[in-house]
Amino acid sequence: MLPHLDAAYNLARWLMRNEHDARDCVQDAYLRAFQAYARFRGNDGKPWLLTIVRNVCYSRLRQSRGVEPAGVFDETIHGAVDDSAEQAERLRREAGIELLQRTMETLPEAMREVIVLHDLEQLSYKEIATVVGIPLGTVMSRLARARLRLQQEMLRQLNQEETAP
Amino acid sequence: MNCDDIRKLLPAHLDGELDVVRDAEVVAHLDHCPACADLALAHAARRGLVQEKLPRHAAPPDLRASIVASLKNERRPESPKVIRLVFRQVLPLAAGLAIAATIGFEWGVRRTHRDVAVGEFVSAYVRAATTGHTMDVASSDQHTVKPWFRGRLDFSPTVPDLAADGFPLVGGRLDRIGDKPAAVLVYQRRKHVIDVFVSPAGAAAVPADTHRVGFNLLRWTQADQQYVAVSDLAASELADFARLFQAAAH
Repeated sequence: MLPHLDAAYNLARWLMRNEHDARDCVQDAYLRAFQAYARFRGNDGKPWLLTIVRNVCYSRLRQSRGVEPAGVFDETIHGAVDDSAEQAERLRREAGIELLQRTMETLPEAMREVIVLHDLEQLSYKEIATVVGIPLGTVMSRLARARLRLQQEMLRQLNQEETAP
Repeated sequence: MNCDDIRKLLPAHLDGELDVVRDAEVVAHLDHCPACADLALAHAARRGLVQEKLPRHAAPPDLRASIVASLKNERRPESPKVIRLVFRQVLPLAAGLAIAATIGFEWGVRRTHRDVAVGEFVSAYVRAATTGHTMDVASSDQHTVKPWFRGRLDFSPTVPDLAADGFPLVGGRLDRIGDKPAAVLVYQRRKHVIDVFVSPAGAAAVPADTHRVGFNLLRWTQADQQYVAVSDLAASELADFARLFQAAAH
Protein backbone atom coordinates (compact mmCIF):
# COMPACT_ATOMS: atom_id res chain seq x y z
CA MET A 1 0.00 0.00 0.00
CA LEU A 2 2.87 2.40 0.70
CA PRO A 3 5.56 1.98 -1.92
CA HIS A 4 9.19 2.78 -1.05
CA LEU A 5 8.51 3.22 2.66
CA ASP A 6 11.92 1.87 3.65
CA ALA A 7 13.66 4.13 1.15
CA ALA A 8 11.71 7.14 2.39
CA TYR A 9 12.45 6.35 6.01
CA ASN A 10 16.12 5.63 5.34
CA LEU A 11 16.64 9.02 3.68
CA ALA A 12 14.73 10.86 6.41
CA ARG A 13 16.56 9.00 9.17
CA TRP A 14 19.96 9.90 7.74
CA LEU A 15 19.01 13.54 7.20
CA MET A 16 17.27 14.07 10.55
CA ARG A 17 19.65 11.80 12.51
CA ASN A 18 16.97 10.61 14.90
CA GLU A 19 13.98 8.30 14.70
CA HIS A 20 11.40 10.72 16.04
CA ASP A 21 11.96 13.46 13.46
CA ALA A 22 12.43 10.91 10.69
CA ARG A 23 9.01 9.39 11.43
CA ASP A 24 7.34 12.79 11.42
CA CYS A 25 8.94 13.74 8.14
CA VAL A 26 8.02 10.48 6.42
CA GLN A 27 4.45 10.74 7.62
CA ASP A 28 4.23 14.30 6.37
CA ALA A 29 5.86 13.37 3.07
CA TYR A 30 3.36 10.58 2.35
CA LEU A 31 0.51 12.94 3.12
CA ARG A 32 1.89 15.43 0.62
CA ALA A 33 2.63 12.69 -1.87
CA PHE A 34 -0.95 11.44 -1.81
CA GLN A 35 -2.29 14.95 -2.18
CA ALA A 36 0.07 15.68 -5.06
CA TYR A 37 -0.35 12.31 -6.71
CA ALA A 38 -2.84 13.65 -9.25
CA ARG A 39 -0.12 15.95 -10.56
CA PHE A 40 2.50 13.23 -10.74
CA ARG A 41 3.11 12.39 -14.38
CA GLY A 42 6.43 10.60 -14.13
CA ASN A 43 6.95 6.89 -14.47
CA ASP A 44 9.21 6.19 -11.54
CA GLY A 45 7.75 6.95 -8.16
CA LYS A 46 10.87 6.41 -6.10
CA PRO A 47 12.85 9.56 -7.03
CA TRP A 48 9.60 11.50 -6.97
CA LEU A 49 8.75 10.35 -3.46
CA LEU A 50 12.31 10.88 -2.22
CA THR A 51 12.23 14.44 -3.54
CA ILE A 52 9.21 15.10 -1.35
CA VAL A 53 10.82 13.42 1.66
CA ARG A 54 13.93 15.51 1.15
CA ASN A 55 11.95 18.75 0.91
CA VAL A 56 10.06 17.99 4.10
CA CYS A 57 13.29 17.14 5.93
CA TYR A 58 15.05 20.28 4.74
CA SER A 59 12.23 22.54 5.77
CA ARG A 60 12.23 20.96 9.24
CA LEU A 61 15.98 21.40 9.51
CA ARG A 62 15.63 25.00 8.39
CA GLN A 63 12.95 25.65 11.04
CA SER A 64 14.94 24.12 13.85
CA ARG A 65 18.20 25.71 12.91
CA GLY A 66 17.15 28.93 11.30
CA VAL A 67 19.70 28.35 8.55
CA GLU A 68 19.63 26.95 5.09
CA PRO A 69 20.98 23.39 5.41
CA ALA A 70 21.65 23.14 1.71
CA GLY A 71 23.53 26.41 1.72
CA VAL A 72 27.20 26.88 1.15
CA PHE A 73 29.13 24.09 2.71
CA ASP A 74 32.79 23.39 2.85
CA GLU A 75 33.63 20.92 0.14
CA THR A 76 37.35 21.24 0.53
CA ILE A 77 39.40 18.65 2.31
CA HIS A 78 41.79 20.07 4.87
CA GLY A 79 45.41 19.22 5.22
CA ALA A 80 47.57 17.05 3.05
CA VAL A 81 45.51 14.24 1.62
CA ASP A 82 47.06 10.83 1.49
CA ASP A 83 44.80 9.34 -1.10
CA SER A 84 46.48 6.01 -1.57
CA ALA A 85 44.65 2.84 -2.47
CA GLU A 86 46.46 1.05 0.32
CA GLN A 87 45.12 3.37 3.00
CA ALA A 88 41.58 3.33 1.60
CA GLU A 89 41.62 -0.43 1.32
CA ARG A 90 42.85 -0.84 4.89
CA LEU A 91 40.11 1.44 6.20
CA ARG A 92 37.56 -0.48 4.19
CA ARG A 93 38.66 -3.76 5.77
CA GLU A 94 39.10 -2.57 9.30
CA ALA A 95 36.59 0.20 9.87
CA GLY A 96 33.78 -0.59 12.26
CA ILE A 97 30.18 0.11 11.33
CA GLU A 98 29.72 2.21 14.45
CA LEU A 99 32.53 4.60 13.49
CA LEU A 100 31.27 4.78 9.92
CA GLN A 101 27.76 5.63 11.08
CA ARG A 102 28.94 8.21 13.61
CA THR A 103 31.23 9.92 11.11
CA MET A 104 28.57 9.89 8.42
CA GLU A 105 26.29 11.89 10.73
CA THR A 106 28.91 14.63 11.01
CA LEU A 107 29.04 15.22 7.24
CA PRO A 108 27.09 18.17 5.82
CA GLU A 109 23.58 17.16 4.64
CA ALA A 110 24.51 17.90 1.06
CA MET A 111 27.23 15.24 1.21
CA ARG A 112 25.27 12.82 3.36
CA GLU A 113 22.30 12.77 1.04
CA VAL A 114 24.22 11.92 -2.14
CA ILE A 115 25.83 8.96 -0.37
CA VAL A 116 22.45 7.76 0.94
CA LEU A 117 20.71 8.22 -2.40
CA HIS A 118 23.43 6.54 -4.42
CA ASP A 119 25.03 3.93 -2.23
CA LEU A 120 22.02 2.89 -0.15
CA GLU A 121 19.04 3.68 -2.37
CA GLN A 122 20.76 2.82 -5.65
CA LEU A 123 19.58 5.91 -7.50
CA SER A 124 21.42 6.75 -10.69
CA TYR A 125 23.37 10.01 -11.03
CA LYS A 126 20.55 11.32 -13.18
CA GLU A 127 17.88 10.50 -10.61
CA ILE A 128 19.96 12.09 -7.86
CA ALA A 129 20.36 15.22 -9.99
CA THR A 130 16.55 15.43 -10.13
CA VAL A 131 15.97 14.75 -6.45
CA VAL A 132 18.62 17.18 -5.19
CA GLY A 133 18.21 19.70 -7.99
CA ILE A 134 21.85 19.95 -9.06
CA PRO A 135 23.61 19.28 -12.39
CA LEU A 136 24.73 15.76 -13.26
CA GLY A 137 28.43 16.67 -13.10
CA THR A 138 27.95 18.05 -9.60
CA VAL A 139 26.40 14.76 -8.49
CA MET A 140 29.54 12.92 -9.59
CA SER A 141 32.04 15.32 -8.01
CA ARG A 142 30.02 15.73 -4.82
CA LEU A 143 29.67 11.98 -4.38
CA ALA A 144 33.43 11.51 -4.83
CA ARG A 145 34.19 14.33 -2.40
CA ALA A 146 31.66 13.05 0.11
CA ARG A 147 33.22 9.59 0.14
CA LEU A 148 36.70 11.11 0.44
CA ARG A 149 35.63 13.42 3.27
CA LEU A 150 34.07 10.45 5.05
CA GLN A 151 37.33 8.57 4.78
CA GLN A 152 39.42 11.52 6.02
CA GLU A 153 37.12 12.11 8.98
CA MET A 154 37.17 8.44 9.92
CA LEU A 155 40.96 8.39 9.81
CA ARG A 156 41.09 11.54 11.91
CA GLN A 157 38.81 9.94 14.51
CA LEU A 158 40.90 6.79 14.54
CA ASN A 159 44.10 8.77 15.04
CA GLN A 160 42.53 10.72 17.87
CA GLU A 161 41.38 7.56 19.57
CA GLU A 162 44.84 6.09 19.24
CA THR A 163 46.62 9.09 20.70
CA ALA A 164 44.09 9.61 23.50
CA PRO A 165 45.48 8.56 26.91
CA MET B 1 42.36 12.57 -22.26
CA ASN B 2 45.04 13.45 -19.74
CA CYS B 3 45.30 12.28 -16.12
CA ASP B 4 43.16 15.15 -14.82
CA ASP B 5 40.33 14.33 -17.20
CA ILE B 6 40.52 10.66 -16.34
CA ARG B 7 40.51 11.33 -12.60
CA LYS B 8 37.32 13.35 -12.87
CA LEU B 9 35.65 10.38 -14.53
CA LEU B 10 36.85 7.71 -12.11
CA PRO B 11 33.78 7.79 -9.82
CA ALA B 12 31.44 7.55 -12.81
CA HIS B 13 33.56 4.74 -14.24
CA LEU B 14 33.32 2.75 -10.99
CA ASP B 15 29.63 3.47 -10.60
CA GLY B 16 28.95 2.23 -14.13
CA GLU B 17 27.68 5.65 -15.18
CA LEU B 18 29.96 6.24 -18.17
CA ASP B 19 29.04 5.62 -21.77
CA VAL B 20 30.85 2.75 -23.45
CA VAL B 21 33.26 4.92 -25.42
CA ARG B 22 34.48 7.05 -22.54
CA ASP B 23 34.57 4.05 -20.26
CA ALA B 24 36.89 2.26 -22.69
CA GLU B 25 39.15 5.33 -22.71
CA VAL B 26 39.33 5.28 -18.92
CA VAL B 27 40.12 1.55 -18.87
CA ALA B 28 42.83 1.97 -21.53
CA HIS B 29 44.39 4.82 -19.57
CA LEU B 30 44.38 2.87 -16.29
CA ASP B 31 46.20 0.08 -18.07
CA HIS B 32 49.34 2.12 -18.46
CA CYS B 33 49.08 4.80 -15.74
CA PRO B 34 49.88 3.38 -12.29
CA ALA B 35 49.15 6.70 -10.52
CA CYS B 36 45.60 6.89 -11.88
CA ALA B 37 45.12 3.16 -11.34
CA ASP B 38 46.05 3.61 -7.69
CA LEU B 39 43.59 6.46 -7.39
CA ALA B 40 40.92 4.30 -9.01
CA LEU B 41 41.56 1.64 -6.40
CA ALA B 42 41.27 4.22 -3.63
CA HIS B 43 37.92 5.32 -5.09
CA ALA B 44 36.80 1.72 -5.36
CA ALA B 45 37.76 1.01 -1.75
CA ARG B 46 35.83 4.04 -0.47
CA ARG B 47 32.85 3.09 -2.55
CA GLY B 48 33.10 -0.45 -1.23
CA LEU B 49 33.39 0.70 2.37
CA VAL B 50 30.17 2.67 2.17
CA GLN B 51 28.22 0.16 0.11
CA GLU B 52 29.22 -2.80 2.24
CA LYS B 53 29.09 -1.34 5.72
CA LEU B 54 26.82 1.67 5.86
CA PRO B 55 23.54 0.48 7.40
CA ARG B 56 20.24 1.17 5.69
CA HIS B 57 17.62 2.17 8.25
CA ALA B 58 14.47 0.10 7.83
CA ALA B 59 11.18 1.79 8.61
CA PRO B 60 9.94 0.98 12.13
CA PRO B 61 7.26 -1.74 11.92
CA ASP B 62 4.44 0.47 13.20
CA LEU B 63 5.19 3.42 10.91
CA ARG B 64 3.24 1.95 8.02
CA ALA B 65 0.08 1.55 10.06
CA SER B 66 0.35 5.01 11.51
CA ILE B 67 0.75 6.60 8.06
CA VAL B 68 -2.20 4.66 6.69
CA ALA B 69 -4.27 5.81 9.67
CA SER B 70 -3.31 9.43 9.18
CA LEU B 71 -4.13 9.22 5.47
CA LYS B 72 -7.60 7.92 6.32
CA ASN B 73 -8.18 10.74 8.79
CA GLU B 74 -7.07 13.34 6.31
CA ARG B 75 -10.07 15.47 5.36
CA ARG B 76 -10.19 15.85 1.64
CA PRO B 77 -11.42 18.96 -0.10
CA GLU B 78 -12.43 16.85 -3.10
CA SER B 79 -14.86 13.96 -3.07
CA PRO B 80 -13.90 10.83 -1.13
CA LYS B 81 -13.61 9.11 -4.49
CA VAL B 82 -10.23 10.74 -4.88
CA ILE B 83 -8.78 8.66 -2.09
CA ARG B 84 -10.08 5.47 -3.58
CA LEU B 85 -8.86 6.51 -7.01
CA VAL B 86 -5.43 7.33 -5.66
CA PHE B 87 -5.21 4.07 -3.79
CA ARG B 88 -6.44 2.13 -6.79
CA GLN B 89 -3.78 3.74 -8.94
CA VAL B 90 -1.02 3.52 -6.40
CA LEU B 91 -1.47 -0.19 -5.97
CA PRO B 92 -0.72 -1.15 -9.59
CA LEU B 93 2.02 1.45 -9.65
CA ALA B 94 3.64 -0.18 -6.66
CA ALA B 95 3.43 -3.58 -8.30
CA GLY B 96 5.03 -2.24 -11.46
CA LEU B 97 7.76 -0.54 -9.53
CA ALA B 98 8.47 -3.67 -7.57
CA ILE B 99 9.49 -5.27 -10.82
CA ALA B 100 11.12 -2.22 -12.37
CA ALA B 101 13.16 -1.28 -9.35
CA THR B 102 14.49 -4.74 -8.59
CA ILE B 103 17.74 -3.10 -7.62
CA GLY B 104 16.16 -1.20 -4.78
CA PHE B 105 14.30 -4.24 -3.58
CA GLU B 106 17.29 -6.48 -4.03
CA TRP B 107 19.11 -4.33 -1.54
CA GLY B 108 16.05 -4.76 0.50
CA VAL B 109 15.37 -4.30 4.10
CA ARG B 110 18.80 -4.94 5.47
CA ARG B 111 22.35 -5.82 4.49
CA THR B 112 22.40 -9.55 4.36
CA HIS B 113 25.25 -11.91 3.84
CA ARG B 114 24.09 -12.35 0.29
CA ASP B 115 24.59 -8.67 -0.32
CA VAL B 116 28.06 -8.72 1.10
CA ALA B 117 28.93 -11.72 -1.08
CA VAL B 118 27.59 -9.98 -4.19
CA GLY B 119 29.72 -6.99 -3.27
CA GLU B 120 32.78 -9.19 -3.04
CA PHE B 121 32.32 -10.57 -6.54
CA VAL B 122 31.74 -7.13 -8.01
CA SER B 123 34.69 -5.69 -6.07
CA ALA B 124 36.95 -8.46 -7.34
CA TYR B 125 35.82 -7.72 -10.88
CA VAL B 126 36.35 -3.97 -10.50
CA ARG B 127 39.67 -4.46 -8.72
CA ALA B 128 40.94 -6.60 -11.59
CA ALA B 129 39.69 -4.13 -14.18
CA THR B 130 41.13 -1.07 -12.46
CA THR B 131 44.53 -2.53 -11.66
CA GLY B 132 44.85 -4.08 -15.09
CA HIS B 133 45.58 -7.34 -13.29
CA THR B 134 42.84 -9.24 -15.06
CA MET B 135 44.91 -12.33 -15.84
CA ASP B 136 47.66 -14.49 -14.39
CA VAL B 137 47.64 -16.67 -17.45
CA ALA B 138 46.83 -15.05 -20.79
CA SER B 139 45.70 -17.56 -23.34
CA SER B 140 42.76 -18.19 -25.61
CA ASP B 141 43.46 -21.91 -25.42
CA GLN B 142 41.31 -23.84 -22.96
CA HIS B 143 44.00 -26.53 -22.82
CA THR B 144 46.47 -23.97 -21.49
CA VAL B 145 44.16 -22.24 -19.03
CA LYS B 146 42.66 -25.35 -17.43
CA PRO B 147 45.97 -27.06 -16.53
CA TRP B 148 47.32 -23.77 -15.23
CA PHE B 149 44.97 -24.01 -12.24
CA ARG B 150 46.17 -27.54 -11.42
CA GLY B 151 48.34 -27.49 -8.32
CA ARG B 152 47.13 -23.99 -7.51
CA LEU B 153 43.66 -25.05 -6.40
CA ASP B 154 42.18 -28.22 -4.99
CA PHE B 155 39.45 -28.29 -7.60
CA SER B 156 39.48 -28.14 -11.37
CA PRO B 157 37.24 -25.66 -13.20
CA THR B 158 35.54 -26.48 -16.49
CA VAL B 159 36.89 -24.21 -19.23
CA PRO B 160 34.71 -24.33 -22.35
CA ASP B 161 35.77 -22.75 -25.65
CA LEU B 162 33.09 -20.26 -26.67
CA ALA B 163 35.03 -18.30 -29.28
CA ALA B 164 32.72 -19.51 -32.05
CA ASP B 165 29.79 -17.99 -30.18
CA GLY B 166 31.48 -14.61 -29.88
CA PHE B 167 32.77 -15.06 -26.33
CA PRO B 168 36.51 -15.72 -26.74
CA LEU B 169 38.49 -16.96 -23.75
CA VAL B 170 41.31 -14.55 -22.92
CA GLY B 171 42.83 -16.12 -19.83
CA GLY B 172 42.48 -16.88 -16.16
CA ARG B 173 43.66 -15.79 -12.75
CA LEU B 174 43.49 -16.66 -9.09
CA ASP B 175 41.40 -14.40 -6.90
CA ARG B 176 39.84 -14.48 -3.47
CA ILE B 177 36.19 -14.23 -2.51
CA GLY B 178 35.99 -13.59 1.20
CA ASP B 179 38.71 -15.84 2.59
CA LYS B 180 38.36 -18.53 -0.07
CA PRO B 181 40.43 -18.88 -3.22
CA ALA B 182 38.56 -18.88 -6.52
CA ALA B 183 39.54 -19.66 -10.08
CA VAL B 184 38.59 -16.84 -12.43
CA LEU B 185 38.06 -17.55 -16.11
CA VAL B 186 38.22 -14.39 -18.17
CA TYR B 187 36.11 -14.17 -21.31
CA GLN B 188 35.50 -11.26 -23.59
CA ARG B 189 32.56 -9.88 -25.53
CA ARG B 190 33.52 -6.95 -27.74
CA LYS B 191 35.10 -4.50 -25.24
CA HIS B 192 33.40 -6.08 -22.24
CA VAL B 193 35.11 -8.45 -19.88
CA ILE B 194 33.29 -11.36 -18.27
CA ASP B 195 34.81 -12.85 -15.13
CA VAL B 196 33.63 -16.34 -14.24
CA PHE B 197 34.45 -17.14 -10.60
CA VAL B 198 34.65 -20.87 -9.95
CA SER B 199 34.67 -22.31 -6.47
CA PRO B 200 33.45 -25.49 -4.77
CA ALA B 201 29.64 -25.60 -4.51
CA GLY B 202 28.14 -23.64 -1.64
CA ALA B 203 31.20 -21.39 -1.24
CA ALA B 204 29.33 -18.08 -1.25
CA ALA B 205 25.61 -17.56 -1.10
CA VAL B 206 24.71 -15.06 -3.78
CA PRO B 207 21.37 -14.73 -5.58
CA ALA B 208 21.14 -16.66 -8.86
CA ASP B 209 20.48 -13.55 -10.87
CA THR B 210 21.22 -10.09 -9.60
CA HIS B 211 22.17 -6.62 -10.68
CA ARG B 212 24.32 -4.09 -8.94
CA VAL B 213 24.95 -0.60 -10.29
CA GLY B 214 26.32 -1.24 -13.71
CA PHE B 215 27.09 -4.91 -13.18
CA ASN B 216 25.17 -8.10 -13.71
CA LEU B 217 25.78 -11.29 -11.83
CA LEU B 218 24.62 -14.82 -12.65
CA ARG B 219 25.21 -17.90 -10.52
CA TRP B 220 24.82 -21.54 -11.41
CA THR B 221 26.08 -24.87 -10.19
CA GLN B 222 27.43 -27.71 -12.28
CA ALA B 223 29.52 -30.76 -11.40
CA ASP B 224 29.61 -29.75 -7.71
CA GLN B 225 31.12 -26.40 -8.53
CA GLN B 226 29.66 -22.97 -8.19
CA TYR B 227 30.03 -20.62 -11.16
CA VAL B 228 29.42 -16.90 -10.79
CA ALA B 229 29.63 -14.79 -13.93
CA VAL B 230 30.16 -11.05 -13.37
CA SER B 231 30.17 -8.46 -16.12
CA ASP B 232 29.16 -4.98 -17.14
CA LEU B 233 27.55 -6.65 -20.12
CA ALA B 234 23.78 -6.26 -20.57
CA ALA B 235 21.82 -8.82 -18.55
CA SER B 236 20.41 -10.53 -21.65
CA GLU B 237 23.85 -11.03 -23.19
CA LEU B 238 25.27 -12.34 -19.94
CA ALA B 239 22.36 -14.79 -19.78
CA ASP B 240 23.23 -15.97 -23.31
CA PHE B 241 26.81 -16.44 -22.20
CA ALA B 242 25.81 -18.47 -19.13
CA ARG B 243 23.54 -20.68 -21.24
CA LEU B 244 26.29 -21.36 -23.81
CA PHE B 245 28.84 -21.96 -21.06
CA GLN B 246 26.66 -24.58 -19.37
CA ALA B 247 25.78 -26.28 -22.64
CA ALA B 248 29.39 -26.42 -23.79
CA ALA B 249 30.57 -27.75 -20.44
CA HIS B 250 28.42 -30.84 -20.67
